This record gives sequence, C-alpha cells and structure tokens, in this order.
Amino acid sequence: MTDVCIVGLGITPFGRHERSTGLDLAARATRLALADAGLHWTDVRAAAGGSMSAGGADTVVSQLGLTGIPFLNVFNGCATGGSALTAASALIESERADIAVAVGFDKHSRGAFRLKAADWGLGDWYEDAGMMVAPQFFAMRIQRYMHDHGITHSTLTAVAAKAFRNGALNPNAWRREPLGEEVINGSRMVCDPLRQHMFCSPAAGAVALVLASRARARQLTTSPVQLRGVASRTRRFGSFDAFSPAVPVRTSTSVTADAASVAFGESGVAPDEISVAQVQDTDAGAEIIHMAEAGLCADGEQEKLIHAGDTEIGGRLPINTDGGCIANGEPVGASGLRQVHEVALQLRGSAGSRQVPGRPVTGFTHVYGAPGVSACAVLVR
Amino acid sequence: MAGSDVDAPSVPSGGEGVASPLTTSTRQGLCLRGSRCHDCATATFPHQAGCPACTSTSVEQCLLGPRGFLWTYTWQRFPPPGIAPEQFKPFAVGYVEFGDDVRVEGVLAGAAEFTIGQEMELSIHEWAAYAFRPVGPRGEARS
Repeated sequence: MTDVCIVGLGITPFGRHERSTGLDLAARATRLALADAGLHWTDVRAAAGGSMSAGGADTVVSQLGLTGIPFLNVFNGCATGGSALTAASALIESERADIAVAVGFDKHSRGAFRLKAADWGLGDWYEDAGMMVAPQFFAMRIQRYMHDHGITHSTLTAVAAKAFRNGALNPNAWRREPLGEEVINGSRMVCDPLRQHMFCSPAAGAVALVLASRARARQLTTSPVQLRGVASRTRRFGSFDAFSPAVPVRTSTSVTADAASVAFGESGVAPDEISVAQVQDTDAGAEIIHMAEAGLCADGEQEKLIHAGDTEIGGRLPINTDGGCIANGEPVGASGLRQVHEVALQLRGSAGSRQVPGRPVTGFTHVYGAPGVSACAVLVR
Repeated sequence: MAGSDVDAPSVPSGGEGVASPLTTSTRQGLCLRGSRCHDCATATFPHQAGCPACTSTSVEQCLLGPRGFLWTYTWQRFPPPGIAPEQFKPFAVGYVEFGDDVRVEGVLAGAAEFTIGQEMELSIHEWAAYAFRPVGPRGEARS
C-alpha cells in the first residue's frame, strides 16, 4: 500500500482548442488542481509530466513560476499519463517531496497519428508496407478476441453507445451527443470490425493531479482519495502489442495484466472489490479486452455483462463513466490522468449527473500504450 | 563489456522486394529471414541480435515459411498518413502463424475476403516488402 493521496484535481475541456497551446492547457489544468487542493505552485516540491505532440512538460514552469523544483518529463505513448502518475507518486513515496504534481497534456493535428517506424525501433519497410497505423493493431486484436471468446459485433456497438451516452453527461467531454446504435453501425468502417464511431480521435486537453503524502494530505482535507496501488510495466515476451512484426505462438502474456496485478497486489484490494473503473478504450474492442486483462471479468464474460448493463453508470461495475477516450478524444499525454481524475471525482461523490450511485469506495484505472506499456492504479476513499 | 564480436550477423532490419534481407527464395518458395535463439530456440522476425524471450545474444538466422495459417487480420480502409487519397486502395493486414513458433505481421493480398485459419503463402508484393496470399482451394484451414 502506498502512502500517497490525491488532494487536487484539475482538468480542461477535451476536444479542439484552437487558441491555446498544449502547454497553455497544462498550465490551466495545474492551476485548477492546485486551487482544488487549496495550494499554490510554490507549495509543490516536485513534478512529473508528459505529452507526445505539445512540447516538454517541464516547459510549463515558465507559465507557472520558476521555483526550481525537479520536473521529470516522461513519455510512454498512450500510457504517458500513467507514467507521470507513477513517477510523481514515487517522489512522494521516497520522501523527496510532500507535495507533487502529475500533469499530462497534448494537442494533436487532425487525422490518424503520423508515426515514424524508426522511432519505434522498426525498419522503414514496416512503414512503407502501410503497417505503422495503430488502429490496425486494435482491429486485429479484437478480431481474434471475438473469434476466441464469442464476443459479437453488437457488443462493440453497445460499448460505443455507452461512451457517447456517458460523454453527454460530462461537461468536459468532446463528444456530448448520445449516438444511437444505428448511427454507430452506419458509420464508415475504419479497420474491420471497428467503425468510425467505435474509435477515439486525436484531440487536445490536459489533466493535472496534486499528490501529497498521507501526513500532508490530512492537513489539507478530511476526505483525501488514497492512491493505494500504482504500477507501470513494459511488455514481457508473449504480449501481443501494437507495432509488433512478430508475436510468439506458445507464450501468452499481457502487459495490462502485469501492471494491474502489481497495482492490485500493492493495494490489498481485489479486482472483484472494485466499484468503479476506467479502462483504456482506444476503441470499443479495447475496452472489452482490457476489462478481462485487468482482472475485472473473465474472457468472454463481457458479452453478458455489457448487454445486461453491468458496466453502465447504474450497473454493478460502471466503466468509463466520463465517456472514455471514445467521447473525450485522445490527447495522448493527458488520457492516463483523465482516467484517474474521473475515478477520484467519483470516489469524492462529485461527478454530478454522471455520479455512480451509492458513493463508491474503491476504483481502478488503466491505460495502455504502444509498443506495449501499461499503467494501472487502485484508488480508495 | 563484451566487444563487437557478440553482435549478430550484419543483417539490416529493413529492405525492399524479393532480394531484401527480410526474405529469401528457397526451393519450397519465398521465406522470411528471422532469427532463432541458440539457448531457448525462440524464433522472431525480423532478424535481431538478442533473444526477446531469454535475453541471450547467441542467435542465428532462421527461415520462416513459406506457408502458415492466418491468425487474425483487418482491412486498412483509410489512407495511412502520408498516402494521398487518390493513390490509396484499401488493403488487408494480418498475422500468419508459422508452425508453433511465431506469428508474423504482413500485408495480405490476392483475395477480397479473408478468414481466420485459412492457409497462406508468402509472396512478393508490388509495394510491401512481402505479402501473404491464400494458398487456394486446396489449402487446409484450421481455427
């Protein structure tokens, strides 16, 4: 169990921000998180943050104030926010700081991410073959998962419909219009079996969290959210991940399962004790697979759970209550912290019209990134 | 610190077409050039100097193919970044499983529809370094 608490939450609206840079958004989210905690930037002893396309996180000090604190820049693909949280938490745990900020932000160009094979350890031939395209991986992974575990197309549609329904309840979401299943199924096929409205799109946004040691948190608030377990992992041999020219046949592992099991183990909370969860929904299939990989259900069980409404806001295990990546879009650096922001808000009972009934006590967050990185956290109030 | 003598054979990880370092022609047909670990027998592709399973640097070249079974696939229906829409035609991508060793990713060609489990054969391709094509009606299938 870690000795770290979340005492401040800050988020900007997600979507398009024509007049702000990514760093502007990072500064805004950090100020909101500090105000939420009742602190000033001068109280912060260390920070960690990252973005993919919007600049070095430490540059934000020029807007927030040049206080001289250590500031770790992190980048782990779509898992960047999770890595920022892991790093900031470690700074508190090691008593290098009693107050630390984790900040994630991004602002991407429209359209699919343009990635260079060489940056991911691959030869140019991989890019030249048209395979440096992340949606292909997510599509191939769910295609096989559907084959192996009896997940149907209607379940993909149901996950996407839930995302837009929850997004409509979230004032910070990008997509705020509920979309019917016929609209989702009528959207263009992007990478079979996944359609346009089953995918997230690159976007802009920022999230900041203020972390404090338990002792410091007690001085600041009577109801801190505890970060009971947090872990980030790279893939082990046998994990099927994006941008992999080869995967083994005989060995099967999952980086999400690895990170989740460490976070759960550290927290002393079991997956079946979780009352609200955020799992990475790069696409509708990813939410389905990550539910099982994180240990929240068995492989194939999603088919029944999702159609029974168990993952809806009023269900047994609400998942992606803020609309997830599908409704919020994907600012790569920010998404991992949006996951934590939402669960912390739910545990506080401050999630407004999307509040999970019955004041949840335990929450889980997951983020997944290429080329096989995952970060998970277990939160308890 | 070990010297450069432990580095694997000098096979670059990129290339083009049939004569590329990625593929080689054999009497059985076109094969992929991967690497196999001396210590744990793990195969991977493309060739690399270290074993991803056991971390050994004692690896040698191996050939994969020419035939395997389609493990999963998708269609790329929008132009990948950098490809002009007018030059783009949707294409399929998938993983083909070779024995009980390794699944290799590649462009799929030669059919308008694909099925998980169908037998595929390595072939040259007009713009990708290699592709997998259905073996044909005589090819067996497995799930």
